Amino acid sequence: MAIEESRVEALYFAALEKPSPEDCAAYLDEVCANDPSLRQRVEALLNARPKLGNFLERHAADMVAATSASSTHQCAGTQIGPYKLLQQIGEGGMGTVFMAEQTHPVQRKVALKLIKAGMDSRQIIARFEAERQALAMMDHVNIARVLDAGTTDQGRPYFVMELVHGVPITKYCDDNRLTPRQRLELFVPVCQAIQHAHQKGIIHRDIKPSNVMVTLYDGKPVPKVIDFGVAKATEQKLTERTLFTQYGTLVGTLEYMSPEQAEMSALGVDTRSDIYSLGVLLYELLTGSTPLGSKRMKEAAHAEILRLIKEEEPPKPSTRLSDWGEALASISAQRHTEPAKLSKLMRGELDWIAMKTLEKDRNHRYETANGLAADVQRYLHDEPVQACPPSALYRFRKFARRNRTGLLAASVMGAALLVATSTIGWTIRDRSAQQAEMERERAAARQQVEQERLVRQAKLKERISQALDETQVGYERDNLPEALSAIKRAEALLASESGASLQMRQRVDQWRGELTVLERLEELGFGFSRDESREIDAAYSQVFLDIGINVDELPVEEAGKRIRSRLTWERLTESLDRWAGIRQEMMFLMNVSAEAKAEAGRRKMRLLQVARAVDSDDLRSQARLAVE
Amino acid sequence: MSDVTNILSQIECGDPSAAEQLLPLVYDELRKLAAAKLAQEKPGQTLQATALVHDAYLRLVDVDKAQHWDSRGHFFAAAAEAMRRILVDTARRKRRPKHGGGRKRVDLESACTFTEDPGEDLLALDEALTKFAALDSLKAELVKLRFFAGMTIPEAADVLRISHATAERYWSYARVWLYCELSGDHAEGETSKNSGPS
Repeated sequence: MAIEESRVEALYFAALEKPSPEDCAAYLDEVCANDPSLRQRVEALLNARPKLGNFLERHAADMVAATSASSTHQCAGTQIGPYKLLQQIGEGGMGTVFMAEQTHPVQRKVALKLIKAGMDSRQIIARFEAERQALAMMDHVNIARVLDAGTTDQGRPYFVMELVHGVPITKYCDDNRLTPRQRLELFVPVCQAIQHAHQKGIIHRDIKPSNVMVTLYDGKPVPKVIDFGVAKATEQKLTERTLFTQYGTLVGTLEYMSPEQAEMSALGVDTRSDIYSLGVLLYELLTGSTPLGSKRMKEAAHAEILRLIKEEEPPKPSTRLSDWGEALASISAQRHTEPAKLSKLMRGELDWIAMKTLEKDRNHRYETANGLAADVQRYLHDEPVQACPPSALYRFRKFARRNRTGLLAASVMGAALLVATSTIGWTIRDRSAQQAEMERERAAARQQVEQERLVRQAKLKERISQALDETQVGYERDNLPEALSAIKRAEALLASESGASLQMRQRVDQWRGELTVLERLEELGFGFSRDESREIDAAYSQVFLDIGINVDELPVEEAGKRIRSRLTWERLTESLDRWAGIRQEMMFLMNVSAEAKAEAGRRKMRLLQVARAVDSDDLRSQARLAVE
Repeated sequence: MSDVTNILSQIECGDPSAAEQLLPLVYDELRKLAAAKLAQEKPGQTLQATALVHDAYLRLVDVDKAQHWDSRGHFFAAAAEAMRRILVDTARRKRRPKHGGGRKRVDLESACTFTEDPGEDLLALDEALTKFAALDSLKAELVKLRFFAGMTIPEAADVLRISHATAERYWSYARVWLYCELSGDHAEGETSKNSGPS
């Protein structure tokens, strides 16, 4: 027995050293010629190798975590802050959801998501707090409101949300056998909800069926997007997020993850990542499976899944449907449509819409969730959609993406090479399409030049948007130099190419302007002597005047509103507090009249009022009230 | 001289029965340490197997006396086996919750829960490992040191007195072997084994 085992091992390692799969197969043919079972075993081992992922790399002990005596099963009845847990209503990768009763300050039922032990509560809460203001401003019928967040006595973070009695959108559609048209009608408000959030500066980051619940209002189905702010707050490294199990399988939420999220770069996520996830949801609603196929995702190893997300072009919905084979019958039945009709229905516009949403390169996706919604509505109203069919141009773009370096060289070397690349392009094209496209070759070459320009531009756009993201991160971390250097980079990039959109230009200008203001305010600093207070007061006035906010003359509400409308309103408000401190000093200046002192006092009050007008909920405002 | 130091020195002198006495001592100490750790730590904290084992070593072995001979290898081998038993026991008990159980065990049990797949996988793995040990004890030992006692490959290589490169190679083979076993791909091998080679 042991002898056989050592033989298996020897063959395994020998086979591994073969340079190609063919050599390997040939080798096994030779050595296992009359022992098929031996060969089978060696092959099983070889096949397992790429699937290992992080199998066994996590220590056994890490799988055993300490939790307090209150295991989740015994939680009903427990009081968490003002919430009393009633019953468990769901369980996800990240935690357990309870129906809970709030007793104070109002009595109502809420959903409370108790985050699984093992995550850094302090950071989660800090990240949630950072977004709290924006979350509170979301008000949309298709969004479940996020009400609160906190930590239990045992240190586990929790989120409190509007309670939604519903089922995941995919399940609702299947259970009720909704037709594709009805599904699309239900999908549109989901896009609109996401659009609303995006306008408030909130990215969901974890759109998937279980986060889009359908609930009935007056007998009509209404989708509700839940869990806003949760993904960001509980942001984990991808490595932690892919829950390890012994068999190398992964938890399903990866299926909805955009390629840039799979890249693992923290800066890479923007609203377009949500668009991608919406695309996956759309695809699933239409075809009954996710673009990359959940079965496949479950079988592949971690690294392989990430590769698939980043690289593999999914089949069009119509192709996926015709690939279903026998299963198509039940898929069609769930859609109340005949099998033959279903795939025909997808062909064309729905295919294009879905594929545009699922573009690996986010610059080619719909720019906004509304854009996607509008296209779906166009389809529903029988108007021409904006998403385009995979034309020669489209296919060239795919080709270009695979051969970027080649194309860069082409731009230098001119037409000769272009013809060459287009010939390479030919070889990968569909045979039947070849004939028809022959005549268009010339036109295609011209398009290629144009296309190449677009590729360059898209790349630039991406770099600018990255610099913008870094600016934001720098700002949020209160690291002004970092933010400034990022925004300067964005400016330089903008200057180098004329192709950037007006919107992008405006955004860069806006950040640049606002950061310069902050820089000026920063220079006014904290350390000053009482004698200088008058000049510093004047300098503060000037900075605010320059941005069109005359704090002493404008109505308090208006001044507050203008500050609130700026990207950097939080820092501006903080500087109002510092400024108020300076006016406070002016009240104690020697050799000034009593009236002047009283005036300084009044003006100080005014600053505090303006600061409060910006954000009256804020804790600082409570403090300001106390100072007044 | 502490019991454990004593036993280690006997092993060193070639007394084979001494090794059997070592395991229960190490096992008890590790259990106590693990339970204490879990009780103090905040929820969500994981057991740091490596730290536990090193703590146990410092507490049980008189390092001054032991440093002259190669005590660490024997100790860590015993510790890895102890950790395996502790973790597998915990997993097993988790699978059958609220089962009366011994009095002493409650401390660890109540403090432990499995963060993801409840114990099932760990048990399956342990079974596979037992099978593997029958075929290739050295590699199975390596898995114990690495997976259950949380050692790095070089550390485990030192304990087993093999080169680091060999340890890497063994480790990679053990992983594919166990992976196959767990995913049922070894079914073929099983039959050929049962029919027995002549």
